[in-house]
Amino acid sequence: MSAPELRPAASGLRRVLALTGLAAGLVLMALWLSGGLSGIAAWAAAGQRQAQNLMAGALQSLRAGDPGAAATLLALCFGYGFFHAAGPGHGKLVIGSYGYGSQVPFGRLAVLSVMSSLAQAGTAILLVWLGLAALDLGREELTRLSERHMADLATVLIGLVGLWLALRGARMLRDVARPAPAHDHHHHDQTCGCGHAHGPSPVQVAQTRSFRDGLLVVMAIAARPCTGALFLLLLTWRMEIFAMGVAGTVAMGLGTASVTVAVAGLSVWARRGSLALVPQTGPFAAAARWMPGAMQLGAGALIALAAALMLV
Amino acid sequence: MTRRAMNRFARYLLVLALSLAPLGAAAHPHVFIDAGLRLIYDDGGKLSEIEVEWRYDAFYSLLILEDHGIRPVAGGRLADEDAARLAGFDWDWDPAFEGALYLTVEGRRMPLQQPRSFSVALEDGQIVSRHRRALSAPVPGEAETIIQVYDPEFYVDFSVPQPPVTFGRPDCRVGLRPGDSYAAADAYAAALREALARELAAASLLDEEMVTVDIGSVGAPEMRVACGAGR
Repeated sequence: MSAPELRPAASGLRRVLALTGLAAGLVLMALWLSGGLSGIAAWAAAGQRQAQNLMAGALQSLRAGDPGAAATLLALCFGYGFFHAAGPGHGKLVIGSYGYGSQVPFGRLAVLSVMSSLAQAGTAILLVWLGLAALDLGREELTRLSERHMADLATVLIGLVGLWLALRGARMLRDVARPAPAHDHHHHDQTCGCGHAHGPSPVQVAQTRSFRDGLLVVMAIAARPCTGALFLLLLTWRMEIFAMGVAGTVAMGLGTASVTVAVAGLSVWARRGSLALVPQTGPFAAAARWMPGAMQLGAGALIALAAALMLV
Repeated sequence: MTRRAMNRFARYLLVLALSLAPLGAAAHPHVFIDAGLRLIYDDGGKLSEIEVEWRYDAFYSLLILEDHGIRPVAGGRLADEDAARLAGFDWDWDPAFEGALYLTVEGRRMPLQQPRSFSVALEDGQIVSRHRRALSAPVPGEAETIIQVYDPEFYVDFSVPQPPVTFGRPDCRVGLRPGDSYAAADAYAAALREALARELAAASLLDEEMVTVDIGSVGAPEMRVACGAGR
């Protein structure tokens, strides 16, 4: 989406940059679909394993009264969250599709990513605290509750994010398609763009910053707490250093966020690239009108389908 | 859009969604276990029983100990009564649970009996649990036997650092192909593509049963054992 007031050279540069983003996204996607990113998953699992073993040591030192172990534990938790997020995960699916399909600006999406991760940490803390202090659940009941029921709830919410995006995309397409036959001969020049009342303009579209969007995204991610965080919280509760567990869980959330923010950036970049594919003049310039709607519908339908398949 | 075009679009969407599904569905491992096996041959030279050792990562070990309110005694060992209390803690008696141990002899899956002789020890802060699984029908040692160790849900990430040890027969050759997560994911993607191709080749789209691929066993640690002079 290059603003009309930009000089052609600057606009050309922006276009190249945006297209690079699309290419990077497509290459990553292709690598991942062909199994080419499996090395990253293996590396992440190895890192998680190591962090997990070192965390045990830090917890033991903490109990033995070594105050320096607190910083070590927090750093390890951050690393654990990072490695955990580097593997496959629902958060990246939601953030990535939302970033690609909707018109959310990067800054806002990055904030959403961090908030989602922190909310996910909050869910784990609340679940363990309620489960242990109020409901007196055992370890197995708690993890089962989280892994079966809350995971299903999260999947339903993810599906809802998808449906919501798809619905909005479909509505945008309908609005674009609606114009009466009189529009068939209508000429769109470069400055005219799509700023008519008959369809959403890029500006209008870019301003679609719904609070509901953000809430739904955060909830879909936060509904499924990370089992590793549950382990840490249970463990520190039993060891009577629950505050350390809470701090560690927040550190894990920040570690996770470091990856989802990167995914957020890539998805927004790839979206700009897709939009930059549309020529500014010529017979295909009209595609700019329906591209945003189609992208949103496509991304939404994908997550909705993926969520439906997970529930089957 | 024509009906055909819509159908094609729906198919592409399905392919993409199916490709995405593992991203969300694939579990992260939360427990890491180093497994060790002893293969026990009876007097007739048949493989009759397998002793399984599971060495848990230190974090999960600590969680189990704290959850049972157990503190190690001097020397980092478990008191006898604590060890007795923990024995069998990790066995799920649900008949669907296969104990992460899979035996294939000449292409046929060999059933194993429910475990016995549970024991638990603590070594270097790691819980080491052991149990024995008898084969429902002992297998001649000469038959090439493939043993796999994996959790189909990938909740537990199993490694097999050492090849299995054989007891009762001196003439067995044991090969170990350690787990290869790289191969696992590659094979998974390949299997998925293949399954999708099959799926799409079939005319009807949604009536077909959904594609399923077993992620667990691909790239899992695999051992091959054969005894005697043959082959």
